[in-house]
Amino acid sequence: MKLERNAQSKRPALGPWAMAAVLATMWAVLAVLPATGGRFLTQGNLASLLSQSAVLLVVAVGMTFAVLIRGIDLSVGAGVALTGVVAGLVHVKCGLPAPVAILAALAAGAAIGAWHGFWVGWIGVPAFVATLAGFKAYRGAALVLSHATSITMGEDFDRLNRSIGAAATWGLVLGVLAIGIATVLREATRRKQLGLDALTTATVALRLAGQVLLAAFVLFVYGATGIPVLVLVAGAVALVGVFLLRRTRFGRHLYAIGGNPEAARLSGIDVKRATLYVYTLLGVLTAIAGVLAAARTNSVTPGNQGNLLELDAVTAVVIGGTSLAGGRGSVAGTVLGTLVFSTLSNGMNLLGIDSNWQWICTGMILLVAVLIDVLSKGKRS
Amino acid sequence: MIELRRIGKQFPGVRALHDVSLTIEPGEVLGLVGENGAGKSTLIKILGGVYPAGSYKGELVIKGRTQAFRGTRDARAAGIAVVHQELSLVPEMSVADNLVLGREPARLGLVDAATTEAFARDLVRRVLGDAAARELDLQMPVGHLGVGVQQILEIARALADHARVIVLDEPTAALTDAEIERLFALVRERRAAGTAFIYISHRLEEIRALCDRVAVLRDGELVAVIPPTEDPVPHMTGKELGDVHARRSFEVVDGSAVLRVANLRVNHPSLGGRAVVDNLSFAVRAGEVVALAGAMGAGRTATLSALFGVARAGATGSIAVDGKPVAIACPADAIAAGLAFVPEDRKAQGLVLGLSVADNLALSSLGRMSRLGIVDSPRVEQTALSRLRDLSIKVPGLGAEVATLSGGNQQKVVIGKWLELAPRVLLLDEPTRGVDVGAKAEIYALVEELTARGHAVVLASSDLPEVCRLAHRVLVLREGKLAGELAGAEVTQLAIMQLAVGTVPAAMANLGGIGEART
Repeated sequence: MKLERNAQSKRPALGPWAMAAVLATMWAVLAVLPATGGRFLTQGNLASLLSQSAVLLVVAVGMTFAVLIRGIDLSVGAGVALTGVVAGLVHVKCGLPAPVAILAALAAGAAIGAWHGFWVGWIGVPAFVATLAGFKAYRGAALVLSHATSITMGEDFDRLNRSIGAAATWGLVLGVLAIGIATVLREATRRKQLGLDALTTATVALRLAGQVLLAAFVLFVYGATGIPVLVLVAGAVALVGVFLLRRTRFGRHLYAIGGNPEAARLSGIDVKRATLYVYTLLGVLTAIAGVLAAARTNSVTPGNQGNLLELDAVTAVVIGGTSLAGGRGSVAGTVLGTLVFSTLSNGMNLLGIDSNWQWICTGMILLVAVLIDVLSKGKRS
Repeated sequence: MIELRRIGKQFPGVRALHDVSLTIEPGEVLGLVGENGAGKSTLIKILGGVYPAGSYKGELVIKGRTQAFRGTRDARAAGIAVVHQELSLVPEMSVADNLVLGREPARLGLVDAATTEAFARDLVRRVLGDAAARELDLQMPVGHLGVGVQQILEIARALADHARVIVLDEPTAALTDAEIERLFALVRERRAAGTAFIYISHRLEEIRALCDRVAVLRDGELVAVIPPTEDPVPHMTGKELGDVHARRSFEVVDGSAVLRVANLRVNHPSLGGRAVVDNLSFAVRAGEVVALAGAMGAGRTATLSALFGVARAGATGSIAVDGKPVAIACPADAIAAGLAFVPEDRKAQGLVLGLSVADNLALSSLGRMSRLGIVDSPRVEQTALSRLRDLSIKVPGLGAEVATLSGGNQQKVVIGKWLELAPRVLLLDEPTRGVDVGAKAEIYALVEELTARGHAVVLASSDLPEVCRLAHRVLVLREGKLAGELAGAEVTQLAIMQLAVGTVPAAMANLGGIGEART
């Protein structure tokens, strides 16, 4: 029996490659438009684009997991404020070192996430409602704890904005690239070992080319200046997210739960526990975003920090092709969705488009992304 | 008055109805009986406009005019009302609001409570009589009322639409004896007033008590229209009285019990204090197929679900696998104990339709194909490939969405996802529902191969030929209780059905032992 290895069905409507093409087109257009004055595709602008994307990317990766299992988390923005305040208070008010402050924020984030997981998984409250409560409560808690005043974070947190240096960047990028190539080759050997059809040369070449291209892009932007810790953390979160969803049992179970929770349960998958893990993970990522946001501005403003970040994250996730009905999507898509989202605001700023018009454009783009999802689903059935 | 002319309906690979002609006169109660899958519900759906004109063959004629329903609204407008098993009342809304739902007496689009209540009260008085109308609190949310009252409200709603024909689909499944009496009284009264009824039930004594004529469907064909005094069972099974269904010979399986169930009780999901399975005990030995037979709602599915740890309202009793008692609170416990479950609704419960064939086949055994939580994808693919080969599952590719497969191949995927775990006991619920004949034979062969390898199988099925074909022993359930057990040559469709409906028709009584084998 000859079987074709056609595209994996859990890929989103627009595969990552198509998404990458969309992003590349946007960049090409922005690069040649006279209005941007050729400033778009410069190393400096791309670096600031990535720095602007970092916080959003971290929460969007977490949001992908929640949306994949038919959930959502509306409390992300408020959570960013609250965990930022926790870090600030521990560091500034209690005078403890930054790493301790960061750990405290992560613990707070994990607790918030586990709390959501409990309500959604065990009590059966819709995620929308459970986290809408958090949307209100955590913002309030952040204001109460900080007495509604901004906290200035200080020197230690500023280190997160600094670069790790050019040499370390080259080492890191090449190291990760080596691991990536090794993974592709190892799968090929394992397939031979098990007597499966070898992957076609085109498939292997495409995968390797993708990795090399990505590494080259990172080195183009940061090869000379070195990569800032902030962007590094966001990149690491994305890589771990890709790994979790694509390679682990946990990730595969999430696709099953999102696709058909009843069938997943009857196959012996512990849906409650997986739900708990997903929201806890999202809570931790929210805290990481909280720390990064605090570092970027070197301050925490409890009333504004992360305002409406959850909606930007959902937008990025949906643009990235993850279905709000659950069961379909990918972290790679979300990374590209986040970049599309950031490119839009960055590009519109360069074009001098009024920020009110930017809102309208973003809204329209979101609808188009969902439309593509709906149309592709219609084709299936 | 209503005339069905040569109605036929084809589904992909299945002929659901063929050349059915039937008339229904005003003021008569027509019984409609047949085994599951005989075509009763298809016929009702054509009548009720669920299958629009053009999707079936033949004509539907009312008062000499051929009807072309585009949907259920058209059917209702033509005077046909269907009261389904799943009631279509809104539980949170009051009796009055439910009665006027969709036909609110509105003025300028405004609904006023007084008019609504007057309309509802008038309707209840007409349908239930003055005494009952005084008792019924029209402001009570419908969800607080018993199922019997709800059923009667449904009928009242149909009468509000001036329905000429009311279809009652298994109306008594959830009713108490008193409620059944009330329902019957209502049907008889409306019949006297000229309303026609089509009455579908598995309970033959009800058919006999209520109907004027009985239409029998078998394999999509109308095989007989008989007076209610005649026993419909031989027509339903297609066997002459005393005929024995051809059945391969089964050696008696001895050896120790793989699965032992004692005093299983499964609570009713909504009616507290009632049980859907009551005090059921049985054992299944290695290499044995034990079938659970019985009418709809007799407790077949409830038993399997409870064994697999998915009883919604809880279950009690003890379960032992290979002599060791096991506690099963969730499917993961059941799987750990060596059970595997193929549920009756494969799309809703068995498969993740949007995932690939390979992913579905790996669904319950990813733990075995991963190390430190990391999935060995090539191993998943290899296992899937060997499963496709073993079960001859036909797919366009391993990455193809399982939704794109035919019913038979989908079902084989559901069974295949368990084989990696080599379960001791397979629980099969309607394993061949909606699959074509070829796949059916393959699934039977698979079940026989698995038992030959020493697996134990519990089969719940409403398909009697299937039960006779596969089972070493048959446990017949009636209303949650064990009505009887048949083994070896005693297993005949006739014997199972007699135990399932619980009455021995007069015609059968003088035949002596019902299950007596004669070859």
